[in-house]
Amino acid sequence: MLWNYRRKVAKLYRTLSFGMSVCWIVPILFFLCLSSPVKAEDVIRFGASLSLTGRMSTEGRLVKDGYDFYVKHINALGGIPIKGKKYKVEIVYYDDESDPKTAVRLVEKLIVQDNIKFLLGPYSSTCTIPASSVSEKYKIPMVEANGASNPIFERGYKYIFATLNTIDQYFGSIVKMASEVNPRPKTIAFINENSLAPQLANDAAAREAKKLGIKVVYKEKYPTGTKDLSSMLAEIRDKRPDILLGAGYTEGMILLVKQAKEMGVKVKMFGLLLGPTLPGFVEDLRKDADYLLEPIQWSSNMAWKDDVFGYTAPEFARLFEQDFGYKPDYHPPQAAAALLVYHHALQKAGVLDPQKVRDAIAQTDIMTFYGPIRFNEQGMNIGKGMAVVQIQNGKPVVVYPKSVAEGSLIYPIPRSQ
Amino acid sequence: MKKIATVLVCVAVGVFLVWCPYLVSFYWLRILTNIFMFAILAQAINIIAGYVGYPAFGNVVFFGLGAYSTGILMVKFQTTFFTSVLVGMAICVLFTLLFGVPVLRLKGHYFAIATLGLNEATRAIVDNLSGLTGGGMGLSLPLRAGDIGANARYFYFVFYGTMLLSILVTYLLSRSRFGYACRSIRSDEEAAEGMGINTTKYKTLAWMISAVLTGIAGSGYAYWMSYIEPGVVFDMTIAIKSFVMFLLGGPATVLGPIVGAFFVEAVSTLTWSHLLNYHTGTLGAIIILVVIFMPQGFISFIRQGFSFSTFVKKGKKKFSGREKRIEMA
Repeated sequence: MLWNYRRKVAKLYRTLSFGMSVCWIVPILFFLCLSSPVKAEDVIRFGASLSLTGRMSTEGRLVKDGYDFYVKHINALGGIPIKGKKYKVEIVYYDDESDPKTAVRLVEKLIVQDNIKFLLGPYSSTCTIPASSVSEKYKIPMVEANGASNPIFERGYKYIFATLNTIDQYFGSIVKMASEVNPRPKTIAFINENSLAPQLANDAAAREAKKLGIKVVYKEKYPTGTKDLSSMLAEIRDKRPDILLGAGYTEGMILLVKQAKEMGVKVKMFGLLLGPTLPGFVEDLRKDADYLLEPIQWSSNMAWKDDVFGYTAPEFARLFEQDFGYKPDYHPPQAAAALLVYHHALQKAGVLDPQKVRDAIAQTDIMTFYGPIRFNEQGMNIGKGMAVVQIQNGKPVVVYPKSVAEGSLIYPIPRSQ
Repeated sequence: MKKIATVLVCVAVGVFLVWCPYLVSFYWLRILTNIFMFAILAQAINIIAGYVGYPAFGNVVFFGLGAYSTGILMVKFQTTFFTSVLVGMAICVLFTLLFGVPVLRLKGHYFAIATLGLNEATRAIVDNLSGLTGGGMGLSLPLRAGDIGANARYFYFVFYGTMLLSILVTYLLSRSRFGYACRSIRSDEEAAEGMGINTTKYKTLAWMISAVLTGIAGSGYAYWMSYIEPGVVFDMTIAIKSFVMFLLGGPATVLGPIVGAFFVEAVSTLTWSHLLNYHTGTLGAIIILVVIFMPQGFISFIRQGFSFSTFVKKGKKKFSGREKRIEMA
C-alpha cells in the first residue's frame, strides 16, 4: 500500500520535473520572442527612458508628469493636426533606475525594438550624455528637457536639443544682477560640490564675475555627501566677500545655509544653485531661508503663453495641479515644452521622417508657457534666459530680470540676519 | 557520458554566441554584451569569494581602476585601447600586491568591510585628482570610429572573449594544485597553513586574478560607454549585482556565475520591458524565491538534470539534518 503510494509520488515527481524543465524553456522563449507592440496608423509614438526609481526618482517622476500633461491635453483636443489629419500621441516609458548603463540600453531598445522615431530626454546630465550618443548614432532626434550640462552640446552632435538653459547660465543672471545693484559688490566667494553640474555652474559664474569686475576671493569644492562645511565657511568668513554663491544638491545646500549662519558668515547677497523653490526647503530652514537667491528656469507667474493650447504659465500651473495634485516647479513645464517643440516641428515637416523632423526642430522659434524656445546649432535653447527668485518672508518672489519681476530685490541682506 | 553531454552543450552555446551578432538586433547585442560584462565580474568574485572564501565586496574598486586607466590613457595620452587595458591590468596587480597582504589578513565580515573601505577611499582619491581624472565632472572618452554594427560587434567580442578567458582561468584554477590550495584555505585556513600551504601567497594570487579580470571589464566598460564618472564606476550596486549573480549561479563552480549572470540579466530585462512600476519588486521576489528553493545555486539544479524530485529530497534531507543538529544541541 505504502509502496504503491511511493511509486505514485515518484511518478508525480517525474511529471513535475518535466514541468520544471518546461518552465525553464518558456521564459527563455518569451525572452527571445519579445515583439514590439502593434503600431497604429494615426498615432505618433514618442519614447523616453526616465529615472522612475533610484536616487533621482523624485525628479524623474516630475518629468514624467510633465510629459503626460502634454499627452493628456493634446489627446483631449483629438491629437496633433498635421496636414488636416489628427494624430493621437503616445509615450513609451522605461525606467532606467537612475543608472546611465541602463538608460543607454533602454534608449537603444526604444529605437531598435520599439521602432521609436522621436525621443524625449532622460533625467540628469549623467544619463543624457551617454543616451544622446546612442540617438546620435541612429540619427534619431532627441529633445531633452533635463540635462543642463554643457558637455552634452559640445560634442558636435546634430540630433540633440534641449528646452532648458545650460548650467553655465544659472548663476550668470545672479552675477549680472549683482553688477547692477547699488552699492556695487566688489568681492565674491564660491563653494560647490565636486560633481559635474555644480562645478560647471561655479566655473562659469567665476568667469562672468571677473568679466564684470567683481573680484573672486574664494573658490573651493567639497566632496559629495559631506556632513561638515565649517572649516571652509570659516575661511570664507575671514575673506569677507560681498556675495556668496553655493552650488550643489538639496542636502548640501541646506547644510551650507545652516552652517553659514552658525559660523557667522555675513554677506550682502547669498545665492544657491537650487533649493529655495524645492518643496520642503523653506519649511526646513524657516527664517534662515529668507533673502536666499536661486536662479530658476521658470516660475508660474511669468507672462508667457503658448500657441498650441493657449495656456499661460499661471494657467499651466493651475491645470497641472488639477491633474497631478501638486504645484509644479520648473521640471514639468520644461518637459512638456519638449513635446511642444515636437508638436511644431511635426506640423512644419508634415511627415514623420526623423531626418526631416530633425531639420524642422533645428529651425524652431516658438513661444510656450515655459518661455520662448529657439536653438543654436549646438542644440541649446537660446530663446530664454534664467530668472532669479529671492525668498521674502518665506515666499519665493521673482526679482530679476525686471521684465518678469514681481517684487524688488532686498539688498543688502539686513544685518539682523 | 554526462561529462561529454556538458561539453557538447557548452561548445554549442559558445558557437551560437559567436554567430549571434549576425542574427539579432543591436539592442539584443547590447544586452548580451552587458550580460558578458556582469558574467566576468561574477566570475571574478567567484575566484576570490567562491574558491578562497574571502567575500570581496569592494571588488568594484578594480572596475573603477580599469575604467579610469583606460579613460586617462586614451584621453590624456592618446594611447590605443589595447595599451590602456594592459596598463589597467598592471595597476590592478600593483594594487593587490600593495593591499593584498595587509587586507587579506582579515577574515569574513572584516575583510568584506575592509574592501568596501578600499573602494570608497580610491573613489575619493579619483574624485579629488581633478586635473588627471576630471574629478566629479567625469571623463568623456573618444568614440570608436566605424558604423553602429561594427562597433556593437567589436564590444560584443571584447566582452565575449574576456568572459571565455575568465571561464578558462576558473577551469584551470579549479583543477590545479593552486585551486586545491584555495579550497583548503576556504575550509580551514589554520589547517591549510599547518599542512605547509603558503596561504598568503595563494590568497594574494587569487585576488590578483580576480582583480585583473574585473579591471579588464572596467576598461571595456569605459570605452564602450565613452563617459565615466567616479560615482558610476565605483558604484557599490555593481558589486552587489555581481555578488547576487555569483550566489544564484552557484559558488565555487566553473559555470555557475555565468549562468547566474544570464539569469539575473534576462529576468531584469524582461521585467523592465513589461512592468514599468513594479519591476524592481518583481525582480526582488524572483531572487528571493530562487534563493529559498535553490540554495546551492542554479548549477547544482542543472546538474541534477532539472530534477524536481532530487531537489525536493535534498531539501528534505538538509532540513532533517538541521533538525538533528538542533536536537543534539
